[in-house]
Amino acid sequence: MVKRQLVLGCGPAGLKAAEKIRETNDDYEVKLVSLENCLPYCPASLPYLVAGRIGEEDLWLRDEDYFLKKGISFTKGKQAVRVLPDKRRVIYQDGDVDEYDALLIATGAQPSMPLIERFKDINILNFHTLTDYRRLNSMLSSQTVVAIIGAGMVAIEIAMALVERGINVKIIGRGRPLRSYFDEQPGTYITDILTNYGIQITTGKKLAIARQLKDSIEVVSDDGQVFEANLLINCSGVTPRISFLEGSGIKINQGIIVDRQLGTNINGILAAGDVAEAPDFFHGLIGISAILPSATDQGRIAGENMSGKNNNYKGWIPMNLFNLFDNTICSLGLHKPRKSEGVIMEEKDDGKRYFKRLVFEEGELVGAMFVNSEIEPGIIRYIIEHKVKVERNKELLFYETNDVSRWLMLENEKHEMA
Amino acid sequence: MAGFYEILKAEYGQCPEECSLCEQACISHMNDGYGSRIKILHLREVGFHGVSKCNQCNEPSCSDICPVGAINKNSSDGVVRILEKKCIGCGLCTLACPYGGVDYNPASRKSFKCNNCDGEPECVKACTNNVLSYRRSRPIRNYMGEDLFTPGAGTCIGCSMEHVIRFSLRILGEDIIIFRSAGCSAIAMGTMPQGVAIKTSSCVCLMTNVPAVATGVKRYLKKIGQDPTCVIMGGDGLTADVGFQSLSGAAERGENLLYICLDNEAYMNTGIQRSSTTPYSSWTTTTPGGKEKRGKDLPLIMAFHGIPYVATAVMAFPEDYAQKLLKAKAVKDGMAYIHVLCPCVVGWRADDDSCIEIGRLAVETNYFPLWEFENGKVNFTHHVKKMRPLSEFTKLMGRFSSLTVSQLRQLEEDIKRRIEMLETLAKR
Repeated sequence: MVKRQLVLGCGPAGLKAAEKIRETNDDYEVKLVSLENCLPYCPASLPYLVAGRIGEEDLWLRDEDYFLKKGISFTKGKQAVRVLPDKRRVIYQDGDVDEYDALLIATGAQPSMPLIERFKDINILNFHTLTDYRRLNSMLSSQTVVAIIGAGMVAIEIAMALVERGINVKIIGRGRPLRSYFDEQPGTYITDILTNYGIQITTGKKLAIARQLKDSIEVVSDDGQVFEANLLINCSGVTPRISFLEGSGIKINQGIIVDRQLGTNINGILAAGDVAEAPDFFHGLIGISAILPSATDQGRIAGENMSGKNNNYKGWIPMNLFNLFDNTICSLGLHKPRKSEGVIMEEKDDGKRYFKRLVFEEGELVGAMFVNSEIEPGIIRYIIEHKVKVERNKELLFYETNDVSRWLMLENEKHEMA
Repeated sequence: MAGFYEILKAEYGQCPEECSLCEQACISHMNDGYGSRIKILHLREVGFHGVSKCNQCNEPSCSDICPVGAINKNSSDGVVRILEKKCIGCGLCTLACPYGGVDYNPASRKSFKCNNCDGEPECVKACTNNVLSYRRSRPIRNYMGEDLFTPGAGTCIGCSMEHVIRFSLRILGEDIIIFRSAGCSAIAMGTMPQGVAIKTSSCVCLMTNVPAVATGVKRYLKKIGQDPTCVIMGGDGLTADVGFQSLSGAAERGENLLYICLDNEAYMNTGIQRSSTTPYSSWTTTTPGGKEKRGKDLPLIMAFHGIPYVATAVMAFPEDYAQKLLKAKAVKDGMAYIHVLCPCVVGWRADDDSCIEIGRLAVETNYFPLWEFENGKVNFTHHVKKMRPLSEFTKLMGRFSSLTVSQLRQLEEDIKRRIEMLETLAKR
């Protein structure tokens, strides 16, 4: 009998998985189901649409023809409402039913709602899907003032995009921008960089009241500060899209709990991407890693395992890279060593807003943080993920990061190939 | 499916100090202000001088991560290219590539990478130190099918014959019937009824009548409208000695069979006794002081039967062998014969991992020249540019360990005479 492989969600994780299944196995029936009524795209590209660097026509990662050629059945605009693991069925909102032999849940995340629920009568925009973008875009004019609630990854991306478009932006966050990726010193540089480009940043604020005025919105923080804007964008975080799994018996914490093979507690059901809580690289503890590199990695492993392999996911590493206008900032792995015998090497230059930090544990690199430092982020990631021994070359790596990291990578490749 | 493409190869850490010819060539050729795609590293502290560059991966992670699909691997030339117009400058590709193959230019907000100069890499032209080369691999994978061996192998460790059979089956495909008889090769393909090791039809015959049995089967199948390739695989003992009359007869009758002789130059399966292809001066258990007679030149004997196709092959040159298999399979008007030299680590008393190297040296010393015979003419398929001394070949094997200088001269003389004969046939 032909095996039916069903993939729910066609973001980067779902798309990669479906392609991987097809690539490793010609005989399987592969079905990819998308919630949104459009071709697959990557949400990470949406801010660049706002900035005007690309048009909507540049967004699509694949077209219908591609799926036809590959023999992947692609269905769009279909929302799963229930999963019945004992019958191996998925039920959709329109009443349709799909049967599967293996199921991958890669439904991604959605904006967290608390803010919106508190201010029900106020027009707060989300920024997560193409529909959100179209709505925002239709409301923008050169006079618009936009207030962004939150100072995380998405908030900074959209703020930069709006500035690039010449729009006045305010960021209202609880903490300083990107604080989960950068600590105090580099964080200050980042705040300075953003402020330099005209973004007003206010931190340490919790919103108390929001009022809809005639053509603007007034937001008041709990300590009484008043902010005025024409548009309010909610970037206060995302949560996995899992409401349809209620009663399915699939084990859920914040996201779907998966093991190293990305399998859930139910045989034949896997999860990957923003929706999954997978083990991390350093501790093996489960957690959500809602970033693009984790999504493609997990999608690939899940796809391989759905086509009969038994591959292990190395675990996700917290990482991020931004090109903030002319400044490059990058954070990989741990900010500090976990043990007292770990070593931090650091240098900075306030004038140039330059910062470089390497974190070592037991002769291995476990973390790195850079602002405006010439490095190859991918190679640093390689050195962390492959646990390359750097004990004897720590200083060298720190002072000539670019060349020495390349050499360490080449050396390690040579040994792994041998 | 992953393809085989031209690749830019760099010898590891072989650059001379201070050299930067490749970088300069790259910068001046690309001339876009982005800088060199190939990176030269001079690390005096650790004594490393080498280059790093894009690997044009088969599964490029830069392409996987690109949020707008601006990075793609071209399936015809294998080059991973960035569509600059589409690039949004997010820089995620530089985070995804573990080899530092993609760079970001903040001024233009675009990522950039090596494109092999669309097939004419300037860095290779500029490299005067033989560090960089552009290797044009031939499309061997395009005609390689499924591996028809089941897991597990009944051969000795390091056996080159198992490699030859496996490779032959992958090229010939499933629509074949194998005829075999006593010998190592029969065991490698499974001892019936237990442990059958190949996923094709096969028939085990007596040593004296393999081509005769194959003749009958092939003629019957033709009569009922089927035309599978009937392949005989057997050793040198079967081919040159025990079963030769049957082979010679089938060749003379013009039977449409493909005969592959797996020549390990002795009766290995029964305890390394001399066969008629054992070379002069070689040790076997029955020639403890070295064989006194010359070996039979079986491929030439088969050529003189006047059959449509005869060839010699060795696993060290897989593309050459694959081409010959395909040609032999296409023969429909008579017999095709391929003589494959199969180094035997046990019988030749060589290291477990030396079979490929022995095969390569056999060709490069002219001990086993690669040629094919078609339309009454010999065609050399591998021209030995610089002939290596025969001792480089013989020293790899214990069977030649007590070779005297005069024996070596004699062997060289025989090899020379054979090459001259082949050259005469090539000039016709």
